[in-house]
Amino acid sequence: MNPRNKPELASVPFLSPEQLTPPEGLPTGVKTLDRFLLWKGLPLGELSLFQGLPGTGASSMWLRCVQQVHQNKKWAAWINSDAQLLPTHLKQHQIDLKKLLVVQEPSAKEKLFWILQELISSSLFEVIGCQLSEMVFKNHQLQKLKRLCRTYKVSLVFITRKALPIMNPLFALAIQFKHEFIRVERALHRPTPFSFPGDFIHAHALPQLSKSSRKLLS
Amino acid sequence: MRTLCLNFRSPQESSSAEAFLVLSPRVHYRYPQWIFIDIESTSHFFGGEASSLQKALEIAKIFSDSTTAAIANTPAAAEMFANWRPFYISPEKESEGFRGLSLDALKDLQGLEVWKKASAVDHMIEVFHSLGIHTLEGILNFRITSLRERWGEFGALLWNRLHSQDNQVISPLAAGDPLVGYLYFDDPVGHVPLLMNSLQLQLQTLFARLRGVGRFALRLELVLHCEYSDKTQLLQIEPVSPNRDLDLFLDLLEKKLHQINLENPIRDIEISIYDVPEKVQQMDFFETRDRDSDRWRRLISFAQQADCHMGFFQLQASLLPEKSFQLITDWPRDFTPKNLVEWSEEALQIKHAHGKSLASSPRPSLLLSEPRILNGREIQNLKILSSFPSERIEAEWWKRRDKDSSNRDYYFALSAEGQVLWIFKDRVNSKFYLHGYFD
Repeated sequence: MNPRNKPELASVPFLSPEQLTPPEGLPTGVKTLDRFLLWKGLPLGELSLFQGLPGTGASSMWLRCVQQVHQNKKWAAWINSDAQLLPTHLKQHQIDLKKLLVVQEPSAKEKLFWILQELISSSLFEVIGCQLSEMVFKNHQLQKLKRLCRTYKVSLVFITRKALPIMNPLFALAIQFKHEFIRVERALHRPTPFSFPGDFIHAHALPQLSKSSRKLLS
Repeated sequence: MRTLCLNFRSPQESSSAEAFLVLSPRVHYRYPQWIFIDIESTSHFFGGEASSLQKALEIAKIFSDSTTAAIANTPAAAEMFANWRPFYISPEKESEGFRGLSLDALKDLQGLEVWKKASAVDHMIEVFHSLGIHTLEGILNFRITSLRERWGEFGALLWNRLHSQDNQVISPLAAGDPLVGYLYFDDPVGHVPLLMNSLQLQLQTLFARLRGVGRFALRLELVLHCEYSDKTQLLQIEPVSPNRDLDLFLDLLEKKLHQINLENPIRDIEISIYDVPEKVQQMDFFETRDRDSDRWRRLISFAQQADCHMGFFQLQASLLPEKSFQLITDWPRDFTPKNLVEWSEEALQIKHAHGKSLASSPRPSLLLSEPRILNGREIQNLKILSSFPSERIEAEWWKRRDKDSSNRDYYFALSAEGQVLWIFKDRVNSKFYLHGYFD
C-alpha cells in the first residue's frame, strides 16, 4: 500500500517531483557529468575540489565551465600557482579574456585566504578557480569560504595536485582526474564513486595534431 | 600656515562658517563678517590656492555678493590683504605684499584675535607718521626690541604679526548649529513667485551648510504664519531618498505652495531642515548595487595594498609563448595581429606580424613561468607523441644565444602518470625542457 494513501496523511500537502527545484549549478558542458550531478554542473554557493596531477585535465574541466559562464556574460577569476593559464589556449577556447581575472598566487597562505574572501565578496565572479600544489587551508578557513560562497552565490573550485587523505565533507563536489578516466568522489545525493572516460579532455588538441598538412603523429 | 580669509562686508551668522567646511575642516568665524580657513593641507585637493580662493568666493557669494578674500601665511595678514588688497595671494615671503599699503592697514592686522585696544594702533600710526613713515614697508625695518621698548607687549605683538611670527592656530570647526532659517516680510506676501524668491535665498544658505557638514536633507519643513487670525500653514517636503538637490526641493516646494490658499498672506516663515548622514555607498536590499567597474576598482585597490598582482591577460606579439602575454590591471585591448603592408620605392613590402600564427597553434592550458630542464631519466619515462616537432621557434641566426633558448622544437609527450606535457628541445644545446601541461 502506498504510504501516502494512509488516512492520517490525507491532509499533508505532498510535493510532486516537478515542484522540487534542484540547487543551482554552473554547467560544465560535459554532458555525462552534468547529467549525473544534482546541480547539473558545478555547485553554485559551494566548494568543489578537483584533484589530479597537472596534465590530467582538471583545469580544462574548470575552463569548460568558464566557457559557459562567459556565454552568460558573467565573470570568472583564476588564481595561478607555479603554472599559469596560457591566454593563447584560452582564446582558442572562446574564453573572454576581458571577463577572466587572473591573480598571481601570493607568497603567504594568509594572503591567499584574504584574496579569496575579497574575490568572493566582491560579487563580481560566478566561478573562481584556485590552483594549489596542496590544500593549505584549515577546516575553519574552508568553512568561512563556504559561508561566503553561499552568501554571494559563487562556485569556488580548488584544483590540487595531491589527493586529500580523507574526503573533507566541506567540499560538496570532489572529482579526481586520472590517466584515462575521471572519477566523482563525492557529490550531493548521488551514488559515488562514479567514473567516466576522460579522453574528451584532450580532444581539442588531438584534431590539430592530426591535421593532414602536418602529419605529426607517428 | 596658509590661511584664506573672507570678508563678507556685511554681518553674517556664525553658522555660515559651516558652508566652508568643504574647503578644510579648520574654519574659524570672527564676528561680524570674517571667516578664516586653514588651507595649508587641503588646497591641493582643489587644484592649488588660486582655485581654493575661487571656490571659497563661489560659496561666499551665496551669503554676500560683495565678499572679498585673500590668502596669506597668517590669519592676521590674510585679513589685512582681504581688506586692503582683495583677492591677493601672498608669496612665501609675505612682506613683499605690504609694499605700498598705508599705515591704516595695521588696524586690520588682527586675524583670529582682535586688537585689545584700537586706540593703541591709532597712536602707533600717529607716531610713525610723525617720524615720516607713511607705508608699511617702513615699519618692517624696525627691530622687535625697538617696538617693545616703545609700546611694550603690544609693540612686540605687532612686530610678530608683521613678520608672520604670531602663530594663530585655527581649530577644527565642530558644526552643531541647527539647520533652521527664518523669513519675515514687512509687507505680507500672498504671491507664490515672491515667496519663492525669498525662500530660495534662505534655502541656498541652508543647503550650502548641508554641503559643508556633509549631510543630506531628509525633510524640509516650513511653518507659514499668516497675517490674519494667527493662522499657520505647515508644509513638509520629503523626497523619496535624502539628498542635497536644492533644485528638487525648490521644485517640490513651489508645487506645494501652489496647492495652498494664500488669500490670507504670509507674514513670516520658519524653515527647518531635518538632516541625515550622507551615505557614501548604500547597499540596501531595495537599492541597486554599485556598478561592476566600482567593485573592480575596489578589488584592485585592495590587491595593490596587499602587494598582490592581479589583472587581465593582454596578448602580445611575440613568438615565445612565455612572452606572448602579460598581466595588466587595465581592461585588455583586442589583439588581432595583422601583416603590415608598406610602400617602399614603388614596391610593396609586407612585414609579417609576430604571433599571427599563434591563433591556430596548439597551446597547452598551463604554462610554466620558466621552462624546467628535464634530466635523462625523466626523458626516458616520457613517451613523445610525434617524431617530428609540432612547432619550431627559431630566432634570427645573428641573435642565436645559448642562454635564451629561443631555438626550440616543441613536442607533445605523455608521462608515466598519464599527464599530457608540452616539452621542447633546445636546438642549440640539445637539452629537453618541460614548458607546459595540457591540463
